[in-house]
Amino acid sequence: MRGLFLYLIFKLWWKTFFSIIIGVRFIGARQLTGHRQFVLASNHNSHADAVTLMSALPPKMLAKTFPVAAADYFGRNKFVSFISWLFLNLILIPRKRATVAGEEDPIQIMNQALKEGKSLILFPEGSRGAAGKLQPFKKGLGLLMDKNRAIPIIPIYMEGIGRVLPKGNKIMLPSLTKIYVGQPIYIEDESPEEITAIVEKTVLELKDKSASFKPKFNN
Amino acid sequence: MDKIIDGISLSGEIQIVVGVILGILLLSSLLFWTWGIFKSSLELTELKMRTKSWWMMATLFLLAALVSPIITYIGIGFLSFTALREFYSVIQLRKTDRLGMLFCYLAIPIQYTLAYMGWYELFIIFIPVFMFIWIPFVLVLCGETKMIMTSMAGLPTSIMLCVFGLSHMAYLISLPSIDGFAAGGKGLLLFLIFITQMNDVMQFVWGKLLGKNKILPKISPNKTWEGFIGGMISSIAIGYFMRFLTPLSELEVILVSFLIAGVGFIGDVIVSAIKRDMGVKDMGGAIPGHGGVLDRIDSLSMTTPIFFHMVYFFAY
Repeated sequence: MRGLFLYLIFKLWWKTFFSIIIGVRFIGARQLTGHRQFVLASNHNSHADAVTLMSALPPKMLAKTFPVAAADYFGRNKFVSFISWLFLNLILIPRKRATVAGEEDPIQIMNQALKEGKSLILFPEGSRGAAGKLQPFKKGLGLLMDKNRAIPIIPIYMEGIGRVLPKGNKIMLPSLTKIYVGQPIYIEDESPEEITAIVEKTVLELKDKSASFKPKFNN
Repeated sequence: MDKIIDGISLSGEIQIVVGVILGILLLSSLLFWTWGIFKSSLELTELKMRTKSWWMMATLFLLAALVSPIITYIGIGFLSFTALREFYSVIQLRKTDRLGMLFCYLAIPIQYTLAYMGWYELFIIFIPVFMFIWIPFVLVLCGETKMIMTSMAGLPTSIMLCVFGLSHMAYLISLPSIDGFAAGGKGLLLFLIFITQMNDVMQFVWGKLLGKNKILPKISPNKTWEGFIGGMISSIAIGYFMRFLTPLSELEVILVSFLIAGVGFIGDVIVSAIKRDMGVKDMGGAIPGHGGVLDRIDSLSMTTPIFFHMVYFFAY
């Protein structure tokens, strides 16, 4: 039931809307197929990011894939967190690591989800950055994947989506956007810091790949 | 409903031209395919890609023309939309211009509805008069004056280029019928697109064959005087033989074809200059081998209003 609902909103509505009206194109989307579980690591420019990525998933992955978002914003009250779950399938985490026992810990929540067989969409930059600039990745990604070494990480670079719905703006406008999906990264014996560094490096490589077509935009 | 049923029939003249176009496409596909067996080169790949896009466009035009005229209005409107989207994806605008951009997008459905209704007086002034006042006012309301002059110039230009010019293609279909002129608006539309695009192709071909003296080396290094003049003579010749698609006399057709060739060149170099300024080679990449939509319609956006008003002046 939930799967059908998500299929309707993401595949029928958002996928069509993004490809025809906004002008989103996926390059290498077949990397997303054939996995039982994965973690997507993408750059983050806009509120449209998670929706766009969800719309690209294989239909059977929809119901078990959860974009991870900040609880202080997407869970600021009961209504907003209900909507976030209903239409976006979000998992909410606090921004800061737990300092005292019993407090909610972001890594713990994400780890729990992965152990339950869920897949995650992560934005390792932490918060939305300026279009075309990659912020340093947070080390939480490495810490989380250190505990889930069997799960592949799929790197993604979104080019141009910052112009669809930039930070601090309420007007959504069409803009040609290319989303590069890289080859899955399988962790071997890297340390948590190395995992973060590898994923960051791969996303940067995708960014360089996208540089052959580079629209400029003054924000 | 009348309009829908009306559109299914194509006049004899149009059938001939559509046949010719499909024939040319078939012939060139075959030619490039055989050529590819013997020798493959980078230029051939580009030619092949171009032909592929032509097939796509011809199919789209046929579908639109055969099924319903409403599809033609929506189709050309969508063409305007993709061109404008491509334009905004490459030009530099400020974040505060987004509301203005939104209104520019909203101008598309209004302009094409006016074309569909055949409300000529409003159709012809909506963008150059009303939007020309409204867009700068919206920018002023947004309150940021730094670099506002650039945006005040850029936004109205963007809709003149991508919406106003192209919407005349849609209005061609709304033109009232003339006694003794069977091809009608669809014939005019076909004539315009065919001559404009053939002019592009002929310029390319003549330029490759004889091209030596560059016209504007800084902006469009591939454009040569030989190509330009060869293309123009070819366009006039083709236009002369296709004059049965228009209600124009022989002399008028020659003049109109001459203007289409000249103005097509102007549109081409204007968009090229914008591309150079923005540091992008191709606009987007929606049509394979053609760079982008705007690269294909750059000449059309200028030839359409010229052609429309020439026909309007001579025949209506």
